[in-house]
Formats: sequence, structure tokens, C-alpha cells
Amino acid sequence: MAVAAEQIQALPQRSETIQRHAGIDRAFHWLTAATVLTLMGTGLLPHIGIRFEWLPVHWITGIVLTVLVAFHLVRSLVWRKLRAMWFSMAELRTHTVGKYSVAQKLMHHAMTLIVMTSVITGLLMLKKINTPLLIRDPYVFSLPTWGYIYVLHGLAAIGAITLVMVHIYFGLLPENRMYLRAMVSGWMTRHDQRARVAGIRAGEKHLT
Amino acid sequence: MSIELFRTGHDMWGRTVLQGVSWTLIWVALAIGLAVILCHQVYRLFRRGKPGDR
Repeated sequence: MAVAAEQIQALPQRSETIQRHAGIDRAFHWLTAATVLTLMGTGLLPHIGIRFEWLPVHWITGIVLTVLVAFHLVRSLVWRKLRAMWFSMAELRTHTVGKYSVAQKLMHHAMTLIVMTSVITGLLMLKKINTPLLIRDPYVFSLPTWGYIYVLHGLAAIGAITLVMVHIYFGLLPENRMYLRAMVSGWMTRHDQRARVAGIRAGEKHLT
Repeated sequence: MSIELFRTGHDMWGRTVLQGVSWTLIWVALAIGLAVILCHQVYRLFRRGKPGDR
């Protein structure tokens, strides 16, 4: 496929760029985004009056999200440094800059909590419907237990509304454009990296 | 005005059982999201005006 000359010139020199996200991590991010938005749309729209045949799309997308989460968990636990996602005393006390800011880590952990809650409760809820994967058995849990499962699933879905809104908003801010570009193309310029370190040291929040 | 947090129903013995969260909370979550965005926009507006800032 031919690439326009001006597009090539717009790309930074190889030595001027730093790889921030590997292709597999970017694919995981955008596939997760697509599945979460589909699940939110199919799960919540019928409750605000937009009626359609939502259940088949919802549970199939839920299985896709479960596979993605399992893949990410295995990859994070086996091949990646878990410490990169946890808080260090140094960054809290002296604003030392790692790959992710404190705010970015908080966003990741909040999203983890919401996605894990909806995946676990969603998998349990598969026992209530007819699927080729499981034999339907709504009596596997008592009525009060089903109530708690539904409450947790609903709370996770509703929490996701606020979290996704805030995540998209901060991702689109001009000062955070470098993170969005890195999540699309994988790279960040050295200039961006210097600005990022200076910004975090000055107390800027990065919630993308 | 009070907001219902949960949906409840009755079992075959007439006891109240939980059915899930109230769907009114969808609008609460949307309002909180919008409030965070608005507050941050106001914060940015004031921060931009401070001398010495970018």
C-alpha cells in the first residue's frame, strides 16, 4: 500500500521516538474498549427505553471480554512486571515518574475492579439463560444469592458509565494527546516524554 | 426527592427479595460523570489564568 510522502515526513525520526505500548497491548486495549462499550450498550440501553434483542449480543460479547481478561491476566502475571502497575512510596512522596502516573494507575485499578466484578457475576448469570455452553439451571443459587449477584453486576455496569466517561474525557484533552497517540501508534516522541515527566513533577493529573 | 437504590420483588412465600440495582442510578452515574468533566473544565480555566502556568 502506498503511503503519501507528507505522511512519511510527519512521522518522527526513529531515534526521536520511544515505544510506549507493544502492538499486543494496544490490540488488547482497543478490543477491551469495543467489548466494554458493546456490553454497556446492550446491557443498559433497554433499561432507558431503547428496546431490542440484546441478550444474545450481550452474553457472546461477555464471553469475548472474559477471554480478553484471561489473556491479559496470564500475560501480566507471567511476562510483565506487575510492579509497573503498583504504587511506590517514591512516586507518592517525591513525584518520581514511572511509565504510568498515580492517576493512570488508579484508573486502571478502578477499571479492573469493575471489569472483574462484571465478568465473574456475568459468568454466573449464564446459568440463568439457554446457551450452547452451559445447561440452564436457575436453581443453582437461592433467590437471595441471585439478588446479590444481580446487584453486583448492576453496580459494576453503572460504575462503568462514570469511569468510561472520565477515561474518554481525559484521553481527548490536548495535553494528554501523546497518550492517545501512543495507544494508537505505539510510540511517543522524546519531547513528549520530557514534557510528561516535567508535567507529572509539577503535579499534573494524567487519567487516560 | 428520594432515589431508590435497589429493585425488590417477592418470593413465593411473600418475602421481599433483592432483584438488582435500581435503573434510576444510570442517570446518577451519567450526572456524576458530567459533574467531574465540568469541574475539571472549570479547574483548567482558572489554572490557565494563573501567571507562570502553561
